[in-house]
Amino acid sequence: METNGLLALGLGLAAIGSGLGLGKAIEGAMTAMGRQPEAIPKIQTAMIIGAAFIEALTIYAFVSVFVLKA
Amino acid sequence: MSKRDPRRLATVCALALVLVLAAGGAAAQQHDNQDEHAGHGHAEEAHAEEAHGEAVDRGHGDEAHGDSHGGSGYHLDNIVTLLIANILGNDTAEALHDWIYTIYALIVALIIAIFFMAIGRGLRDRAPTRVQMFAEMIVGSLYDLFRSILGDQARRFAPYLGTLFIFILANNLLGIIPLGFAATSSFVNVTLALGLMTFCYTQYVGIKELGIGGYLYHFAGQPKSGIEWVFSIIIFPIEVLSELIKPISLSLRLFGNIFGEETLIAVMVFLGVSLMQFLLGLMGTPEGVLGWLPGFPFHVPFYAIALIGSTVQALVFTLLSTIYIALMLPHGHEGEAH
Repeated sequence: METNGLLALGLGLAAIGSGLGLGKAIEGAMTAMGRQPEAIPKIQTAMIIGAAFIEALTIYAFVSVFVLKA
Repeated sequence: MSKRDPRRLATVCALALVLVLAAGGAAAQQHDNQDEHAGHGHAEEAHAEEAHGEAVDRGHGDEAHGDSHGGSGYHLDNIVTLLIANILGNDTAEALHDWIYTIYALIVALIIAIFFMAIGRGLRDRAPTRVQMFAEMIVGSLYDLFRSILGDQARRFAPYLGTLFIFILANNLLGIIPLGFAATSSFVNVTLALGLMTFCYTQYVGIKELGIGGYLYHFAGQPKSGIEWVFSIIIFPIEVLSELIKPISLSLRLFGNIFGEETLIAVMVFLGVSLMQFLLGLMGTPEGVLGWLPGFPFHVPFYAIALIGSTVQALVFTLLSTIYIALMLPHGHEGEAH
């Protein structure tokens, strides 16, 4: 039972990391968009891809939680 | 916009469908051992369902489901599982449980193929119908997206990639139709099949474009000077490994996101139902009536999140496939598109 608690804690930690990363990435993208509105589509594409990579880390943690769940 | 595009897309849709189903079926065979547990859990849960006579949402069955499942997690009941369990009996339901996603994928692919074929047949250059405008908008914007990454090569790969996007989007959105459908992408078999398709296609493109020698040279990091050749000994296994990881990460990302959304919705449904039952139980509602009552709609806001997430994940899968293909093309590393 306590393993499940640890898994939830680990998922939370992973989410913290992803959250920080996403915040940083999107901050940069927003700044870039504000400076160069004409480049918004390109920046958006790159931002979404980057966000997907960052988010994937939490998703891996999420999947492993379900694999390891007691 | 060429006149032929939607028709081509439809043809490739049908082809991709066959591939997905074949790969999904193969994956299902291999997953048999794991899924047997899921099947048992499901049958148990179906019993609970009948006993409770739940019409809209599931109550206590949910808990039993989650517990007995272990690794497989939550899936809300859908029309097919309920119908099969109630009409054909639990044995058939158990037998068909492994193939639910195949049935759904088949339905989705048929709908897409018929939709685009029907549009492709009745194309008009002047005064296009609304549906034709819609289809042209889909195909046109997808094509623009691919052209921004692949450049002039986009035309070659647009049919496959466009099919991928539309198929994944439709599969994701299937999950948020209330009362009865499951997102096909929340089964790892389906996403793995899609990932493997992209992997095989990328390797095929690489070998066809670069030749066997150039293909291996690409994996060695395209060394030019002597020192680079020495380093290529280290780079080669890393590149091969990262190439092999790509389909896994692609499919796990899609699976995890959609599965997460589905789980969230299932948990919220369970929360709403159990809270309602608790409150009504306090008020002294008789047991027989209790099972028929729906819960609080706690899960509704999460449909909006699921809507956004489904679209973004379909886009991400497609964009990453596009980039993997772009990396395989002769000048992929220079980012020729921009």
